[in-house]
Amino acid sequence: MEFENSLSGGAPYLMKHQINATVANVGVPLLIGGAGEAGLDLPTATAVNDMVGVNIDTATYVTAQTTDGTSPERLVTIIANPDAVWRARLSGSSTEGTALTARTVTTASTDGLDVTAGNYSGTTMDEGAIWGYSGANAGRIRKITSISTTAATVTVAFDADIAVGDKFVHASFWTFDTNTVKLTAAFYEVDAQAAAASNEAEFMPIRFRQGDLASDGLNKSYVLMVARDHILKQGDA
Amino acid sequence: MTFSIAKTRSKLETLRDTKPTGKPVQKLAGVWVDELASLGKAITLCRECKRKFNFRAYDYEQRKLCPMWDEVIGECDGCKTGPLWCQLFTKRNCHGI
Repeated sequence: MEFENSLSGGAPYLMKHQINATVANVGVPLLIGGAGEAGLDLPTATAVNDMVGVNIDTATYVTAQTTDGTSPERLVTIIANPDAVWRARLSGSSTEGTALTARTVTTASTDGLDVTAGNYSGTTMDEGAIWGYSGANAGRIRKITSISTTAATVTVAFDADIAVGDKFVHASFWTFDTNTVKLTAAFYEVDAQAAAASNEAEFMPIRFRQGDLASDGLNKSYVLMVARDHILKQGDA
Repeated sequence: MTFSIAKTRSKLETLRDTKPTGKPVQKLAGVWVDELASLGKAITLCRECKRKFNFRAYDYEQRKLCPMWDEVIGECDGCKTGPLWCQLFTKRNCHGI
C-alpha cells in the first residue's frame, strides 16, 4: 500500500526505526514491538493492531554482530502519520498481483437491482461492494445488501438495466461500514474477494477506485483506507 | 562514491549522533549516506544537504509520496538535524504496489 494523503492535509512524516523481523517488501503496515522484541513487527493478514506506519524501504533482521563491517542495527523507513489514507491494490486472492474475478450476468434485471451472476451465498459477499466491469453499468458501484446462491442484490438500483453478458466485479467490504479488510499474504495488498468474515485487519475502507474494462479494472482497482488502530492516534490504548 | 560535508561539529550535533537512528558517531555523514544508497535504503536530506547528493549516480530518484507535497518531514540523513522539511530519495522504480 502507498501513502495517498493525510486527512489533516499534513505532509508525510518519516521515521527510521529498528525492526524485529525481516521486512522484505515495501508498503507493509508495521506494528509496535511486543515484550522481548527488538523493534517493529510484521502484521498478519487479519490483525493490524497498534500500527506504527507503512515502510518505504526494506531491511533484513540481524541479531548477531556481522563480519562485513555493517551494523546489526537494521532500520526501515516508515511513514508514521496516524491519519494517513493508504491506497491498496485489490487482489483477487491472498497472493499479491492476482487479478480480480469478474462474473458474467446470466439473467437480465430490468430494475437494476439483481446481479444474477453466480453464487454469492454464505457470508462471503454480503455487505460488500459490486461494480460494473462491462456493459451499461461499467464503473458504477453499489453496496450488496443481500445475497443468494445465484445473485447479489443491491438496494440502490444501478443506473441502467442489467443485461445478460454484462460483467460485474465484487469485493467483500464496503466503505464506512461494518466490514474491515483482509490483507494478502505479504501484507501490502488487500484480498478483496476473501470471505467477509475474515475481514478483520484494522483498516476502515473510505473509498473505492474501482476500474472497469476500459481501465483494466481486474488488475487496477484500489481501495483507500485509514488505520483504525494506529498507536499514535489520540485516545488509542 | 561519496559526497563530503565539511563542517565543525557542535556539542548538540554530537549529542544528536547518539540517537539510535543508525549512523555511528565516528562515521562521516557522506560515508553514511553512501552506505544507505548502496543498500537501496530510503534517504531523506534537508535542503542544504540534498544539493550535495548526486542521486542519479546511485540510480536514485527524487520521490513525491503524494501530489500535495514535494517534500516530507523527517530527520536529515546527512546532517542529522530535524525533524524538518526534507527531500525523499528512493531507488528508482522501487515504488510499492
